[in-house]
Amino acid sequence: MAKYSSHTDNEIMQLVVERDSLAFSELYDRYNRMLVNYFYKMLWQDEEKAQDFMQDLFTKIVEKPKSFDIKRNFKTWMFSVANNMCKNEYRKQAVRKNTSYNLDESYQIKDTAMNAMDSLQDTQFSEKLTVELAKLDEKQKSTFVMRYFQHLSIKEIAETLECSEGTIKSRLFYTLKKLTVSLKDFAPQLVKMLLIMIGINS
Amino acid sequence: MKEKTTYNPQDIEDLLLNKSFDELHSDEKEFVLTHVENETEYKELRNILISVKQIAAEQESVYVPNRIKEDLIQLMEKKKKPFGWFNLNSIAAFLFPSNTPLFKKPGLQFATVGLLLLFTVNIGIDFVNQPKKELAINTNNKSEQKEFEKEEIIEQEPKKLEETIEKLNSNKAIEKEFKNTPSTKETITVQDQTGYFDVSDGKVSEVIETREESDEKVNNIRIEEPKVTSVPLIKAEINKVDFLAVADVEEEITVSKYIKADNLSVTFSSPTVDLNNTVSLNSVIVSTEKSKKTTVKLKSQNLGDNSDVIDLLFVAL
Repeated sequence: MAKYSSHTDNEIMQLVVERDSLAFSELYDRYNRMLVNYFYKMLWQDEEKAQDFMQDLFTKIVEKPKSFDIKRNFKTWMFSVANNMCKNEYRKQAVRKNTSYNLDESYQIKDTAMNAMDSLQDTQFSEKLTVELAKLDEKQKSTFVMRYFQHLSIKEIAETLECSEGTIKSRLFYTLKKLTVSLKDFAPQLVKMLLIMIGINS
Repeated sequence: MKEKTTYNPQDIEDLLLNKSFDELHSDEKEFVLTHVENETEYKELRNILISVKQIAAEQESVYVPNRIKEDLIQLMEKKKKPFGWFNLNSIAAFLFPSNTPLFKKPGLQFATVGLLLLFTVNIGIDFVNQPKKELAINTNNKSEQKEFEKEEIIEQEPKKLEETIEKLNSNKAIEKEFKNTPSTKETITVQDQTGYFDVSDGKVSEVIETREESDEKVNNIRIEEPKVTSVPLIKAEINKVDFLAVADVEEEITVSKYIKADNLSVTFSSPTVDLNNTVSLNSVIVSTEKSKKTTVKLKSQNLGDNSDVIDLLFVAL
């Protein structure tokens, strides 16, 4: 594995095209967690679904490595593929239920189970954030998740979603404003917690 | 002088994350207040943004089972090319790449070139075969030359016949018979499909009517059902044949009349014909073709066909 640790993503992808298993293993180690978390956030925090989608994406890379344009950044290319997979899933769910996905209920159940051991405030904020994220439109949601959960730069998000950096910054700000309206009742308590964690007594 | 603000509207995220409202400079506050209503809203935005980042950091721990990686590595191994073997999938991928338009796919281009070559080869084969057909015609010409030589030989025989016929004519008994048979002195009409020829004393004396198309040549003369005819008529027929060949008579000539000669005793070799003192020529048919050379050939053939009659005449003499 250490053999390719110094290689860039694009160099590794060239080796994957040549069916180098070690190179693929290195690539998987770099991005599997990032991708599964992205899918987890985007697909209603369904852990199994997130795992399946992550596996599907890597399977695509194994089967059609040449579909990757070597001139592009691998990370942004991979997230654009992931984003398209999420879009398709949204369409499938919309067709299947013929109505909007009942996100509130599903999130409440899963989050409650997952965060049973967390503090009540954290749980409440997390639950509410998840619900409000689900209410966002697909572009705002994906931009917000990439930026604050996957820690992609503004430039990377712009490349992934194929739009300008200004558009991404503007979209992020207005998404934040929208979320603030919904989450402001929870935020002060969280801020208190953060301040305590940091060690500052207000 | 007042400094120009260096902030873009999209850069408010940096200020929210790094500075409280109290920490903002005057120009930063001015910039921020163009996007938020007041200090309270700025604080709310800041709190939410920091909270989201904190939550995101805490939640980034979804479990990924090892079997996924194992399955993917196994799949990767299967996809490895076998060393020293042609990978059919790679050939198919080369011929029909998925990302190219239809007309750019090498497979279709090769197929088109192949079809063009196939047609070209077929046309070439036909072209090569054509001269062979012409050679076949030339071969006939060679045989024709041989037959032309034969014709010269055969043409000598009518001369002999003429001499014998003259001798026959000199015979008084025959002359009497001819006097008694008015048909011998009648005009014998030789008819083709469009015109008539007067035949008198065994010779075609006058062309009454001919076709306009004179390019066509006589190529075939056929005597059908020779039954009863007189010797002078045979002579006439021979002369007529020569004359018709020169005169380019078209289509078909039919001799419908025949003359009786009681004093002659002619025996045909054909078992189906048993005649007594009479020879009859029922019809002479001349058909045409456009080749003069062929005419000569066929004429000689027909003379050859009449060799039985000629032999019989010799016997009769």
